[in-house]
Amino acid sequence: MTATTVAFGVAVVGAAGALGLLQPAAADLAAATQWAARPLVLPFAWRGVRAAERAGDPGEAFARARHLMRLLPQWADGFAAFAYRFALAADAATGDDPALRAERARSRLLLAMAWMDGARADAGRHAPGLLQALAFLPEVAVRTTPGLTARLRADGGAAALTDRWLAVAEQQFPSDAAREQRTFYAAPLAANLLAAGDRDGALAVLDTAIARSRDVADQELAATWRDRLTAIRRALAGEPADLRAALADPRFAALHPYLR
Amino acid sequence: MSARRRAFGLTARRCALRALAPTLATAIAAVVWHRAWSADAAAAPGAASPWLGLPLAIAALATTLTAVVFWPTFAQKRPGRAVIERLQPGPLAGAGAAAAGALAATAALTLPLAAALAPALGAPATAFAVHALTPVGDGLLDASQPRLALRCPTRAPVRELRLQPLVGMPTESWQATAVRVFADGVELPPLPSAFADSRQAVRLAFPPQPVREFELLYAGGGMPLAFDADAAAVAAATTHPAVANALAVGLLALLPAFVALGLAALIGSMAPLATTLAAAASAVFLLTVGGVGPFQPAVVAVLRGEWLATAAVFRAAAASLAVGAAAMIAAMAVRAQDRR
Repeated sequence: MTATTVAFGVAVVGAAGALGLLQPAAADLAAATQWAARPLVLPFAWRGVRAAERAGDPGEAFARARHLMRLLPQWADGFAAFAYRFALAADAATGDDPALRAERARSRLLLAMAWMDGARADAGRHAPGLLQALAFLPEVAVRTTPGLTARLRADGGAAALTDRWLAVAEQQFPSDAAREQRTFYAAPLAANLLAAGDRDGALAVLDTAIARSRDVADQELAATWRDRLTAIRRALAGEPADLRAALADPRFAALHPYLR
Repeated sequence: MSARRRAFGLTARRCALRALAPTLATAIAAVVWHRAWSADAAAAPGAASPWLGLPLAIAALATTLTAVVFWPTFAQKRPGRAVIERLQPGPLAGAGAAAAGALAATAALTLPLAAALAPALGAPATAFAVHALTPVGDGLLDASQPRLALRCPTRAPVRELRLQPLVGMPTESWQATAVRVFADGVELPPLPSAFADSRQAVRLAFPPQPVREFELLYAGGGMPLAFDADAAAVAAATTHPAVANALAVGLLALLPAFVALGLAALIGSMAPLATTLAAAASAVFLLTVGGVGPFQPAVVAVLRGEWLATAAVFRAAAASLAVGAAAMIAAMAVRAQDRR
């Protein structure tokens, strides 16, 4: 028996012993494989993403980014960056009617949000940041994409999508910041419901925001906010209200068209 | 049978047999992985390029290394080298014929593989040529230089203009720059959007027509646009069968093997087998996975449905051919000097 054979035998027995003791799950093996493949594959995967971006095809760039991010599942900022780039990409095609372009923009937005949502499981301590990015993607998308606001009405509107994710953030990572963020988001959300013809829903949102404003840390800010929301709520319910302060406050700009 | 034909036949057979299993295994793994990873593959077939490029690269690598190991005159101090040098005529002592055999084996693997894999990975059923447009002058378009001509290299009918300029810092305001487009003096429909970001892709479809020159006219906005070599292209109206395109990429997969075998013949005239193998493997890696040369862009182009038989691809292939041929010629010169 040669020294090489003995060394090989010792290595095999050692490896079998280690596997027996550690009893790795399939996920551990997949993670180890990813870790080993990363330095070999990453440079080429990055080059592929860059080449696709240069070619101007958002779909291809996103597909390549998804391959890339399989190797970096904990990089929450990367997921957010690629998802935003895909969802907000300008539609290069011509000749289509605006409705079709808005439909494509909606598909891109929903796909990007689903992808970011799927990444939350591996994001660890960066998950709250990923949720924030996820929550505000619809708002950003409707500002940059013509026709998307109308197309998203069937989904409840961009503000409703945002509020859903802010609610998840508040539930899973309860903090003053998450709670207050959602409280102050009431104005665009109520405007969104009014645009969809849901006055009762808008009133309910305003009632909730007025009640939650009592938990806001900065009570002076909360009092101003509450007074203006109360005036708006009264006006929307058909009651007499002094709206001068609310109409002068740009934070309520989304609601102004429904107050005049 | 002549000694050269024997070297060709023996090497081709050995290379094909040795490379068949790893190539097929990689191809099957590529298709399985692609199916598992890419649920929406049909939307972006270009993203599947690693799954087409890898099996072709493995075929080229396996045949090249097999040829270098199999044919004794590829490297110094190989058993049987002295005998082969006496039996085989010519300055390379059969290494040239062996290289040709290896290339034949590579073609036997890559041509059917590319033809089968490309459609399986979502390549479109037809392909069309994409021609880069050449800007006249310095390629700038802004308020001070409001006109820019772009020369079209083909007289064939074209159907789509593709613009991706670089966008400079605003000189006046942050307003996106609008552009009007003329084809041989006739204004085309408006572009779908103005330019606000560098490399923002804008495509303008129009009825198929031959065009000599496009003219871009600055139509307002605060950002200067710069059109470099990659910033403007046209898509041809004529379509070609996708299978011919796939066969073309199969042929282009021979280039890395050709360059690697040429370098192996040159380096092997001075170095032992291990060094020669390392050099050949590195060359194949660089020219395939490494993205040097026309192979990698061709793989992406096939999956995007862009026709490969264009002057640009021929130019890129000619550079690789020249390197391989120069290495072969240098190998002949070095070996002839050694014999003296």
